Amino acid sequence: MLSDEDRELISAIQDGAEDAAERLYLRFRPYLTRFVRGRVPVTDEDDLVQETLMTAFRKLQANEFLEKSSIGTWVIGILRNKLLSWHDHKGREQATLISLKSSALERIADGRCPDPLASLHLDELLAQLPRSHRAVMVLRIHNDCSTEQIAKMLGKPPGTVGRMLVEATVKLRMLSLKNRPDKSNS
Amino acid sequence: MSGRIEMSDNCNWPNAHDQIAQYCLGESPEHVRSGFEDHLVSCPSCWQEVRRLDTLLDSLRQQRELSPRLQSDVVAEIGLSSRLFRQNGGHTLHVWAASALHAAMIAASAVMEVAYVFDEYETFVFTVAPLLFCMVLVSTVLALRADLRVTRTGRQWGLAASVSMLILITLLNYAAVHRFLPNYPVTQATFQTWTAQAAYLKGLVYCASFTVVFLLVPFHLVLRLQREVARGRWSDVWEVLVGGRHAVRPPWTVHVRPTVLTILLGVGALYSLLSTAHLLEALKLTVHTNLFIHVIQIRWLLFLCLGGLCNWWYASALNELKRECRVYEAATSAGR
Repeated sequence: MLSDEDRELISAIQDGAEDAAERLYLRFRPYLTRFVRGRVPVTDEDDLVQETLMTAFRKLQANEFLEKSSIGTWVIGILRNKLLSWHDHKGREQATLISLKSSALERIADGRCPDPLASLHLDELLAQLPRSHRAVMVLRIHNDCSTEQIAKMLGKPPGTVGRMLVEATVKLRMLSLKNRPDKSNS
Repeated sequence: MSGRIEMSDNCNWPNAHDQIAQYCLGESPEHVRSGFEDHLVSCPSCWQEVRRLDTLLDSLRQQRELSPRLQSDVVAEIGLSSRLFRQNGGHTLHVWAASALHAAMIAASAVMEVAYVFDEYETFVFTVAPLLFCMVLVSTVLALRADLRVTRTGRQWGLAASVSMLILITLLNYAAVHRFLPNYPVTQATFQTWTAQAAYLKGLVYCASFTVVFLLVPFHLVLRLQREVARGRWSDVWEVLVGGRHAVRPPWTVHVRPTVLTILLGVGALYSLLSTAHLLEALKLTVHTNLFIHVIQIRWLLFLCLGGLCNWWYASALNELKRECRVYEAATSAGR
């Protein structure tokens, strides 16, 4: 169940290695940050991730990890418990109102913008999508409209709009792979 | 969709490509999302794809202003011109609401003509009037749809079709209803009043003329402009809407400005108020005078509501088309 990397990390933590906490942090922080996204407000994201990693570190130190799964799955389990506690504390209703748009704006304020090269490249990629797919994508992602709102605007069933969104996203991925900057540089 | 993208590592997760897209869009249900996240920790290939897609979507999400081209794409999909081929040309609410008001006006006219002999014509009021309402409602909707059908095909006689249908409805209406109405003056006043049949005909003519001016003509113009914009002739439409020197109206259309129609409605309402006041002053008091006054007021309000609704809809539609033209203009300028 445990990979060599997992075992190495556990023994480093239990042996009190200096860089053990940092290794745990560097390995799981990107996952945890992505997984809490949209589930809690941006202002609480970091706190939840930190708490999860600290709890995981303490439990690993105290040998409380039972090795029934990989460390990754176990750490996500801790994060889910933290999320449940957060929801119980703040109220589920408030949590469901969090929109990705507000998270995005807060991320800009927080100085965590995505790669600027990707922004420059994006228009070029979007131009290669069919017009209807492009419009659906812009309405969903940029204007933060729900699938139902877009369906109403386009006079199409929500299922069709959902399908178009997924198709557009898959196509966008495909195009980004084809036109990857590192690919063209090499 | 699957199989078109090559994953760097082997990934056995079912339908991984769609899952990645749904996950990044935030469209996955919670139980699917949780399961997929468990998978992400152990699948570097999917994780890499999620991160790449997140970066792309985030850059779109965080663009403060869309490029003019993207804006024009969105407008082309959701703008008024794109709705021409939808049900009722994208004006379903207006079509039904205006037709209902028109039908109510006609039904009220019929009731008004027999209000003074309500005891004798009670059956007429409760049977023929509702039937009349339904018949006129459906036929007015059909008249508007006839215009839409013709306009969609690119022919120019949509307005002629809807006006002809309205005239036909009015004639059939009169032919069907007049035999139920008394052929002598019913409304009792100090001056000579019209016979119920003649007064009903006069009412029908008023209603039809009003509907042509406030409903059919603006509806036709909006449909034609929608079609012109959808065909890419937005610069011509823009000129027409802003009253430019080089404006060329689409043939067989009448462009009356919403402000002109509003003034016309105001003047008409005032004239109607004065003439009604003159009639009310001359009415002879009977047990049915109260009913007559109520019906005449309701009919006046229905006229006002229909005129107001049509003007509001007309102004909004023209504004929306204007906005659409501006977006296209910006997109074209940016592309130069």
